[in-house]
Order: sequence, then structure tokens, then C-alpha cells
Amino acid sequence: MIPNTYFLIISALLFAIGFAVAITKKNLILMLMGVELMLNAVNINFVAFSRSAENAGHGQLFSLFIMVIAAAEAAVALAIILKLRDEYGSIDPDKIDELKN
Amino acid sequence: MEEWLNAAQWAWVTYVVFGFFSLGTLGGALYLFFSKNILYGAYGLLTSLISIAGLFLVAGAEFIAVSQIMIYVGGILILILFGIMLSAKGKDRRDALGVKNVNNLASLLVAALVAGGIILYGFRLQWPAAKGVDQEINQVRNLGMSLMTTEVLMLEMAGVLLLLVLIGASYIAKK
Repeated sequence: MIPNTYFLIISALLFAIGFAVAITKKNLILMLMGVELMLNAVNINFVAFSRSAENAGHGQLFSLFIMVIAAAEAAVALAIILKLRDEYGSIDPDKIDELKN
Repeated sequence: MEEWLNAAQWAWVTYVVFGFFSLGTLGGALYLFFSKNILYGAYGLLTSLISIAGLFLVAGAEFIAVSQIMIYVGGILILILFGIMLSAKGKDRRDALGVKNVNNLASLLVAALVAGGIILYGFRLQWPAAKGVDQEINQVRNLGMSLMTTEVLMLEMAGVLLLLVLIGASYIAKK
């Protein structure tokens, strides 16, 4: 039986790496990948802690719904990214600044 | 299965499997961070996602592990690969494929702070020890019963959300 702390350490490191990817990269698709990594880190915690619960199904259901939300988010985000690329010819978030002026 | 693993002094096998999959998880994520090519970065993400499915198996959630592979690897990652290939065309393909980093050191520092904070806080928390997943209980049946009885509202909301996303994404992406 792996202790919960090990899962917590792995998911904390994964969350930090996903956070670093999301704020470092100047590419919208890579930022989306960073957000996916962060969501996965949260899922690991839900599944690990559901083992201590009375009904293990509840924590697992939460991670299932997170996966559904992540799929929906990725679909909409990629549609917006493709549209932005047609509009601006770039997916660098620094170059997409029309609303500024 | 875990019962006889513990009984026969073979518990270290679980730890070896856990170490293997966590190495894959963190290695894939780090490769995504340090890769200079966005497509190779997507393959790093693939490694990470499959290893996370292995971690779910170690935690005794087999249905979540299968869903992870089906939804993330079979759905989201393929979608991302299509996004990369569709946005890397025409005269701006260098711009879409190249990876530009800003504030590399600062962001790694912030990330290390976040990870250290969470880990320190996790060590200070007290929680009941994990009970070990009872293999007698059918997890998939349990999940299905919950989805159809107590969590049916969430299931319906997820369905409506997916319909909205389907309509919205195709509306946004149309020419």
C-alpha cells in the first residue's frame, strides 16, 4: 500500500512543472499542455485520497468529471487558437494585442 | 491482488512499479518543459499521461486508468497534435512550431516554491492511512451505481456541457 504522501509529492511536482510550462512558454498550444498537466496532478490527488474514503467511488467520480471538463476545455481552446492563427498569423500571445488599442 | 502481494513479502514490487510510473510522469513533463520542438514536447506529454494512467492503476482505480488513456491520450492529445499540425502551415510555420521561453529562471523558481510549499504543507497534515482498495467490491459497478443514482445531476450537466462545447467549438472554428 503506497502512502498518500508519496502520491502528494508526485502530484505537487507535476503541478509545479505544469505551472512552469503554462507561464514560461510563448505559444498558446504549449500553454494549453501545461494546463492539462496541472489538471492531471489534481486527478492523481483525488484518486490517491479516495482510497481513504468510505466510498472510493466518490473521489474517482470527481476525477472523471475533471477529465470531461478538460476535454471540453481543450476542444474550445483549440478552436479559438486556430481562429486566432487565421486572424493574426501567429499563436504567440504577445502578438495578439489588438484589443489593447 | 494486493493482499497476497503484502502477505508474501512482495510489497516492494508495488513500490518499484510506483517509482517507474512516477519517473515516467515527471520525466515526460520535464521533457515538455525543456524541449525546443513543440511536436517532441507533445510526445513528452504523451509519456506523462500514460504514466499517470499507471499511477491510477497502482492506486487501485482501474476504471479511471482506462478512462485516462481513452480520454486524454486518445482524445485530447490527438486533438492537440491536430492543432499543432493545422497551425503549422503557410509562411508562419516557424512561428507556430518554434518554442520561445520567457523568464525561464524566474518561472522555475516560482514553480519550485509552489512545489516545496505544497509538499511541506502535505507533510504537516494528518490524515487517516489509506485503507487499501477492497478487491471484493466491484469498483466499476460502484461507479456506475453512483452515476445513475446520487450523481445523476452531475452526469446530465456533463452531457449538456459537452453538447454546448460541440456546438460552440464548431461555430468558432468555422470559416
